[in-house]
Amino acid sequence: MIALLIASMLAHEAPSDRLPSLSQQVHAHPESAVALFDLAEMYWRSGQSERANEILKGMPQLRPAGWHWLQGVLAESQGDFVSAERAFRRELEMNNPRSDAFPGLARVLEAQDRLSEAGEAFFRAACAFPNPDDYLKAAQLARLTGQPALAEQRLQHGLQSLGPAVSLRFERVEALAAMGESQAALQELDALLELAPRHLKWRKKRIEIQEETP
Amino acid sequence: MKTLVKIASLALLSPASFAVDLDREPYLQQLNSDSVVVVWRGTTLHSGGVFYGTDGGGLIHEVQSPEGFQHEVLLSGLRPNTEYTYRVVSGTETLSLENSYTFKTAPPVGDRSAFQMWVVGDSGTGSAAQYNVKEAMKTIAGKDLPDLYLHVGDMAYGNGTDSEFTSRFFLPYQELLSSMPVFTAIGNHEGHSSTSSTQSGPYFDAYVLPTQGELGGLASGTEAYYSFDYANAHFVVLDSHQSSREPGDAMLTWLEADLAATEQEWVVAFWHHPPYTKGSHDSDVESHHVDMRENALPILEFGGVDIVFGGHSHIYERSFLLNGAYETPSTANGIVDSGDGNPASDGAYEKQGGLEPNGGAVYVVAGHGGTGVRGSGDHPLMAFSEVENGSVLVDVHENRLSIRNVRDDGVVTDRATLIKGDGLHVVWPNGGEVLEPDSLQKIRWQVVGPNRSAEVFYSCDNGVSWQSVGRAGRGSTEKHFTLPNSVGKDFLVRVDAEGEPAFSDTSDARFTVTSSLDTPLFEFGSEWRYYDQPDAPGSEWKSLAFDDSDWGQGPGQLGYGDGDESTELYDAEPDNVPSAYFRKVVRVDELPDSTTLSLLYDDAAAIWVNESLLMHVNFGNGSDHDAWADQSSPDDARLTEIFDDIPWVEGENIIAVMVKQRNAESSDLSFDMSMLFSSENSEGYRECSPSGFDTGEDGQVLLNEGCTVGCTTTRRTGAGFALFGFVAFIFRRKRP
Repeated sequence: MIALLIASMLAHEAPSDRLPSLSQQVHAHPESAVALFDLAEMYWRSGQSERANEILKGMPQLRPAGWHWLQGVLAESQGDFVSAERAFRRELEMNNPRSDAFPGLARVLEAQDRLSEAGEAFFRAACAFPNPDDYLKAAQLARLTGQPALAEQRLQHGLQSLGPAVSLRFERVEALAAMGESQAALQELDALLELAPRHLKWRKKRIEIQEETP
Repeated sequence: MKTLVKIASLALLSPASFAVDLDREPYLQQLNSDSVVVVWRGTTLHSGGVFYGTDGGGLIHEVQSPEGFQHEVLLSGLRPNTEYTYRVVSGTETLSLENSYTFKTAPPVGDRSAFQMWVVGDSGTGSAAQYNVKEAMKTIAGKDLPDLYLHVGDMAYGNGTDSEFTSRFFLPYQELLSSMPVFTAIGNHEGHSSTSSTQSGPYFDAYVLPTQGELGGLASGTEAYYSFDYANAHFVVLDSHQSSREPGDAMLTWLEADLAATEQEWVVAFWHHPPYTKGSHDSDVESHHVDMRENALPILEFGGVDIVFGGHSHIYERSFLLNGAYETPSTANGIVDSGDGNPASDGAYEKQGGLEPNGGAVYVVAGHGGTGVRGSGDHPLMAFSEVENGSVLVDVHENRLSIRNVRDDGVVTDRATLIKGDGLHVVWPNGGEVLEPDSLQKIRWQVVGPNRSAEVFYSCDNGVSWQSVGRAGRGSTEKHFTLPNSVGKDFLVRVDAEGEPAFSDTSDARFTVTSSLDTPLFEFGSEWRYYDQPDAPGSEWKSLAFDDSDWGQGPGQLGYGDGDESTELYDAEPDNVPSAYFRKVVRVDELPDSTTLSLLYDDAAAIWVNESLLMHVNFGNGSDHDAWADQSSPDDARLTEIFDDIPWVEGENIIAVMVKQRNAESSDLSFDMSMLFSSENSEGYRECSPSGFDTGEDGQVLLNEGCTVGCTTTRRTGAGFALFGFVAFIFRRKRP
């Protein structure tokens, strides 16, 4: 019932608009963990992280799905990456974790400069839910940590999953160049430049690779 | 695809009863010059198929679809710029409400012929405002339908759930979506239940968007952001809500490459969070807007973007021509042309021909498609702002791109045009105008580049044939013209610069020449029978034969709680009665061509004429006596609509109205109404027939002697006639 009431209140309103009515409903039915959680999430979505945090702390023992994820994003927004990491990991241990917890964990690992682990986490996120952003980050972090072959491997996985996304293809040029595979890098770059001949950065990159090639 | 030998039996099928109910009628996705994806969804598992063919050629092609709830059927091998008819079936049963639908394939990529698009944002409320915006567009478009529908997000309030998509997007736009392909950007409300990174949820379930450059552009690898080509325009759709907006991340890396790849004449971009706004959101302080302005705009402007559409902020705003205005907070820095861009006043914005890096772009906030509007509208980079519901029509023709803001009452409140390189642009009449026959008008156009003399033409058959209006000397940009003494809905004007074939333009859409007689049927304040008691009246209360002699009677406004009622109804305590009932018997001696209905209501109303439902507003909870309005209205909300298909009969007719309260505690209820009959006044006029006219030596229209229907051979000249600029935008609606 509470969920229905909340859903009806959410209609037509921006998060900040619906907070007062949502808040009233929660006061009327304080026993509902789902309603409390929804209220906390709405506070977070409207940029009021502190209030969201207060609600989470005061919630009953019964924790609805996504509770650890929300705890994670709130901790992340406050710069507490250690707590955020712990929360995201706990969320990912649940049966049906919030999908956002995968890249969430990767982000907080990156924020702690644990780049290799972060790259692995981004790759795990991409494998669970294929998307260009996570594949790209997984490859970029592998390359930045001196593992261009791993980057290439992750990109190949991404290209197989997503098709020839140009963001991944250009990162592949970077990875191949870092591996010392200049000819392969130039071949891929030429193929990209055939698609987008006016791309100034790619043309500049081609000159760079040519100059670095013995 | 296979050719059907026996199709005749299908043609006999009626869509009257369905074994498979569709909760989403057919809609078009990924339309280009040689293919389209037809999508529909049933409430039960069913196998399906699409029969299709060119108009007049029969539905001779078939594509089958395996069993499922939602079907996504690719029709390929189509001819460009060609109208097709299609029918959605399951076995031998026609599934859709209509027996068949039509669509038109895109022109070939690069083709410079005219096309029109409809841009809508933040519409998905299911409210009267959403419907009004749609109806206003249909009246003003000047075409049967625009060629493309672009939605900039927030199409299913409040959480983008599956049922909200069905009731607040697919249902309200049902009759459009079967013929007009829609391309969408994800909004924050869709983001409540759909996730870009996983491409999952109701938004991604509903749409079939290009990820691999199927429609032109480069592969993004995701439906969250993508691009496509249509005619001579390249469209870029971004995800400002969930995908990373950081430079070097996937979306902006793809964007930079995609723009470097296109060779199209126009670049149009849209996404949800606009870079400049002072509406219900502030682009100076909210991160999504700031990110898009600071990170995406430099790439887009370098890539030659011409116009950008956004929503999110519930307002209409349209910028000057801008370049490089990336700072936070925004100032007036970055204005390339501080004119209003309106060809009828300061003149169109001018850009170099072709794709020009950083040549300037116009930014439009179209977050006014159906939800509550608000905001200061005082952004320093905006040329025009308006806090009213509406939508935007965009016409592209060769090197001209024109936008019109169509307010929900059917008034065009803002116009702006971009011209790339030298060219000639018809300013007026340019589509959607309604003009009086035999009236003196001034055709106007704008020239960029060398001035030449021009030859001016008009057509009354949508451009099939043309009649000369006359010649305008070098440097002139207007020509007086007396409209013929005839009526029609397919008028256009065309202006050709002499000696320069590229300097030619036609009205973006048709205008109408008509004359009508208006007669009030009854006015506000007229007498009504009313019933305001807790128990429901008899089930026959809508019928003419119903005995309402024991009902109350009084003049409008009827209701309680506001203090402005002429007839006060029963205000039950402690709880309200959900429904109040009103009846009026009217005598009709001559059937009208159309009826204008003006309604005052609070909070919901449904109207029947002769027991046939005419319209309803805020009736989402149904018409049971005990059902409440599904949402509140403003106090004494008003609505005016024109109907051309009310089932009037000569003699007595019954008008029955049910008005609902929002809930038990609501303090007021209001109702009043008027109706106006309009009939085409054809006496003295005739249907326009180009062959019936000649042109005099001075270019003025001369009616032929062969003219027979109530017209005389008359020669008109511009001299001695006062300019009569009567323009009326009317607002039509079919019954549900």
